[in-house]
Amino acid sequence: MIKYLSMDLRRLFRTKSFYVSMLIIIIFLSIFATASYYVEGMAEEMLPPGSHAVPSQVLDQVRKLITFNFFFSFFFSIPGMRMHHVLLALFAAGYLSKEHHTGYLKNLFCLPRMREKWMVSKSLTVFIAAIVYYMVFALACVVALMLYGNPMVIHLSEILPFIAGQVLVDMALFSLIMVMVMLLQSKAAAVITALILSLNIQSLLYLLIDWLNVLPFKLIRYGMMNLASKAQIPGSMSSLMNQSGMQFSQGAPVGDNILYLVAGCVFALSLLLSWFLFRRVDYKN
Amino acid sequence: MTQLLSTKGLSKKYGNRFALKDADVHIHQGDIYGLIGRNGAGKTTLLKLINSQITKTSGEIYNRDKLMQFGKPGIKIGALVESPGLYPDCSAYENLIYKSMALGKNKKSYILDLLRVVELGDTGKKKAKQFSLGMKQRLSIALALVDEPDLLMLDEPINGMDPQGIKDIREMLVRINKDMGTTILISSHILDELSKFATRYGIIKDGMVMREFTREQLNEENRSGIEIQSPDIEKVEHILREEMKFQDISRIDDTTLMLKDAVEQYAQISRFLFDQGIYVSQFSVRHESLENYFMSMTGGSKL
Repeated sequence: MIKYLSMDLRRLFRTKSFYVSMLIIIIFLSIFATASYYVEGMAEEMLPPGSHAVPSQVLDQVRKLITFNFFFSFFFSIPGMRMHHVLLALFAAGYLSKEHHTGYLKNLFCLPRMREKWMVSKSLTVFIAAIVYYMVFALACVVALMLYGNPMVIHLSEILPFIAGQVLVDMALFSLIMVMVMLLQSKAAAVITALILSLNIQSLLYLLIDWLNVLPFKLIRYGMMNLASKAQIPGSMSSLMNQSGMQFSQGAPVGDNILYLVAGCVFALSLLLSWFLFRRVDYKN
Repeated sequence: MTQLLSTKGLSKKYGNRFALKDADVHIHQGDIYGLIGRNGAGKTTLLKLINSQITKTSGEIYNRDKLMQFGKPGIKIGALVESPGLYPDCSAYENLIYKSMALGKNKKSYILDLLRVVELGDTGKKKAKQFSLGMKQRLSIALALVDEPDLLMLDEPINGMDPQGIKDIREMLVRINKDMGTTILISSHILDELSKFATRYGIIKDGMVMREFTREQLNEENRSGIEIQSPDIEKVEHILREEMKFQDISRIDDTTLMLKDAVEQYAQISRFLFDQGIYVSQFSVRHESLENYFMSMTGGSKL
């Protein structure tokens, strides 16, 4: 198992799409960090009515609000913009389906316990990939803070539970993608699933179910991606906007526990389903 | 010779159609087992079942007389089923090292030896996606050999290859069989090629294994012979047996017989029959090929 994992890790760090997904998020962060440095627009909101110019002390005050948490949570704050999840899900779709797509895997099935090894190793590899991804992004946020002279304040007690929730959501997404890979053994199916789920298009279905009043509760409230997008940390853009009376996130923020519970259940169930399909579905490629 | 792998009543059903039905196959240690059959006959299905790629509907697979569990072959099997499965963005060496890492056999010297065996030792950093079909096939065979398998399974490994590529693969497989002692199970359409190096054959038709035979049996049944047709066939047979002392004579029908192992004496026999005043309406030499044999076994179905 360890040997197979070491091979997978070596492959991971030689996968271009892994670096491309990190590069994309860093480019977006750079644009956002640069834009946020020129915060006149945001400062004007804080001026008394009738004032036109933005005094430098007001600008400094606003810049103090731009902390690590502000940068780190930016892509999670804007409704419909789940950049991290989209990029990671697309990377995972390519990575998980590659050995099916190229036919590499089929010639390994005759090796003892290859299915077990493949599933455990791939799950761990994409988990490590997600951790590395968030670490690189956190590092990029630190660099952005340093470059623009913003206060270097990092509260790990706030950021770590937030990251844990998001990684759990990513793992649940990965295992849902794995289900599709096992079922259809196709890269296209994996990529489409990744896009649909990470962009939360499934919430349309939840809405329909809620309108039909099939369930005793509103399903949309417990949709994993909805919950993930509502997760907040102090100092994030959405929490700042909410403080100033602007409704920036969809609905009220939820406790981390519900997110953990839903994402954990989705992860565990889809992993179980993947395992069942891997054993039962004939490998056609 | 010990039996390395066998199947008993192995079947696979898709919907209402049997892709493989009650297949009994016996592969012995050291064999090069040629699996012969038309497209859709069930060759790949059989290989996929042995490879634990698909689940069986019924029947059993045995390794050295032990029941084989799905996903736990019990013997080392190296497989190349259908298309070559490679990491296209990696070199031949990297492809091999990844698999050897996964198997815990991180022996660089062995990988380099394998590259030499499949004649890819000089490909350097060239990526697998830039390889020719023959090179890809050779690399896939090397991948299947990483675990030093007891059984190497190859599904149509010479399809679409040029004559030189086919010859290279054939020579390489014979080397692997002889030098490494690897038993080989190979399916192919190209029967003439298969007949040059396989030591045991299995004919499969409509999902059923029609017959298994060794190279010796094939040679015995397919010896070259002289086919003689005459309205006086009784007299021809008498002359051949009594006066020319030939024993291996078989009657094909009321006017035709086959004389085996006498091709070299073609001219003398012809002259002798002529001198005896026997009218011979047809006198021809027959060279039976594996393909002809296959066709006769499968009722004339061509590959």
